[in-house]
Amino acid sequence: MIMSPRLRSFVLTLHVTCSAGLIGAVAGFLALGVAGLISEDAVVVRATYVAMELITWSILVPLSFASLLTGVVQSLATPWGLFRHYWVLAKLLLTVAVVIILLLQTEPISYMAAVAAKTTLSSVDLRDLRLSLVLPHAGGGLLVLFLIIMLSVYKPRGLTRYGWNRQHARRT
Amino acid sequence: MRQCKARSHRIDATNGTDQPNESTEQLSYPGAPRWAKILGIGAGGLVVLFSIIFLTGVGGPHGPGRHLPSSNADGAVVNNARQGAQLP
Repeated sequence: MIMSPRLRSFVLTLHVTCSAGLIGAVAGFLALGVAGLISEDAVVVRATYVAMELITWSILVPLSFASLLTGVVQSLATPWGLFRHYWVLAKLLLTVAVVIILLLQTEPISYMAAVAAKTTLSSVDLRDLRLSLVLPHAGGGLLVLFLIIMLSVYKPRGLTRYGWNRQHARRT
Repeated sequence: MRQCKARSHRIDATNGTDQPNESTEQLSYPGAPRWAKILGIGAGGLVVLFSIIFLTGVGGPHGPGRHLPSSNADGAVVNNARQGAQLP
């Protein structure tokens, strides 16, 4: 399935928009998480966790699925393929991992938002959970998304065995 | 031989056309490139590390629900928050 150049450009635009938007939204989520950790203003702390849940459900989850979907369509409908080049395969696996970890994190994020909406949080309340949302998950997610963008830009060489066999069979 | 191998891996990522351009002149599959092996080993190492942490319990209970109380009341709080209900 090969798309016309015009349609391909449109899907590529969608994919870049979703992916760049996702990394920006994760950066915003990280900033809110840090503010929730270090702020001494109880109103700010409560507001950050409510906003983090809003960002998660209205931006992060939709954009992560859209990025995955447009990426798969883009690769399947172009000569790059989905399993022919290592960089495409690596992007796919990393994006799937990001989506799974994000979905696993929605429960604690919603829990934090519910607690913040109900009560006033002190700096030590649910400290482990608040720290966990920021450092390993949002920070790690940002690094992985940056790695995915690097793969897209550099397109490092290397055919998979499937891709090599496919190209070799076509030439012979 | 070295030149042939180099050609077999060449990809023109900066040709402006965004099209794959890898040659397969070599008769046998040259194997995965070094960067893919390093990335794979790194990802595998992280999976093994987290598996060990999870299975041995080092660092306390882990997982997305580890901080969440299991009572129904708190579950109701979470559900209410997701539905946008006003909490007392």
